[in-house]
Amino acid sequence: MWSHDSVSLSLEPTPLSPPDAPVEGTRSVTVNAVAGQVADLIDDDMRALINGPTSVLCATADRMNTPDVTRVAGLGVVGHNRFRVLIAARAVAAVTNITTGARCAISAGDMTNYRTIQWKGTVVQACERSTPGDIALQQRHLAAFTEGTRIQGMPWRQAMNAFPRDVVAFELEVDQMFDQTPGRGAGRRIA
Amino acid sequence: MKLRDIAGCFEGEIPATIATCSAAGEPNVVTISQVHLIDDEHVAISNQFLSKTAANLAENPLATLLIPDPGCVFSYRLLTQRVRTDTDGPAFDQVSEKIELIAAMTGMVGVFDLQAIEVLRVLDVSEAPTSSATVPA
Repeated sequence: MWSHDSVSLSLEPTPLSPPDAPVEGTRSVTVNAVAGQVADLIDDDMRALINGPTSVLCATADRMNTPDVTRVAGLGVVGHNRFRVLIAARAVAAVTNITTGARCAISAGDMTNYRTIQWKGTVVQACERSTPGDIALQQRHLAAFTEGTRIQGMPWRQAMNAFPRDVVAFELEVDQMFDQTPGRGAGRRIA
Repeated sequence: MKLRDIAGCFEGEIPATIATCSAAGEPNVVTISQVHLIDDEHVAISNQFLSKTAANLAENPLATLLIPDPGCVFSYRLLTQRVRTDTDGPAFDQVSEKIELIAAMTGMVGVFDLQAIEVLRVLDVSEAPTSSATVPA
């Protein structure tokens, strides 16, 4: 059983790491799509998106199909089509919904140009206590998010309010990808 | 907590988010430009590019909205249930005018194309987890 209060985090933004810099404590693997293999849904372009000034949300549902949405506090790539996702430990509905085998949707939108991608997939590891690598991931996402808010003209200290200090992590293997950039093509399935 | 207590969240300064779920249990999440306050019990969302959201609401009327307060960026979660779809009428006209204004402010004139509004009854309002223990009054 994981603990909610295992980690303390300073919410002062730190400088952005290079987008492809691996986060300590996580694996970063790129696998090219080949014939007979599941397409690569998190390629370099997608990595650049999620490492940039993005707003990331996570949708889940309970067994009665009641949907929930919560803000993602960190998003990393830890394998072929596999995300490690950080959410607030106090996001009770999401944490409850995120069981192994549950379906989940992740939306990442570039705050500077509205480009938005949604992935859907299956939870392969339910919520667990965050690791030191997760804290680094959280700091990197926070720095990128606050950069986005700065570009939008929002004080970064206000942006801090959107983020939880205590997070848990789960892993999601995605199998569908959609372009949700505002416009007539929004919702188009990419892969 | 009442909707009028968080009226600032419905000004559209910061985009909101809506999560829906198909009857088969597949969640979907979409960013929306604005959630519109209709009355003490109802809100509306504009259906511009929301084909999957609308399809999900047709088979499962429940939706959860995440709406930020532009004054402090604290967010609120609204559990809602779809009531109806409007393609005209006073509420539709009111939303349409706001959409055109947002499009002009964001340089996206002509991109937004309001087709309908989904009217949702609010079942519950709660605070979303934030970096602070409590949301300021």
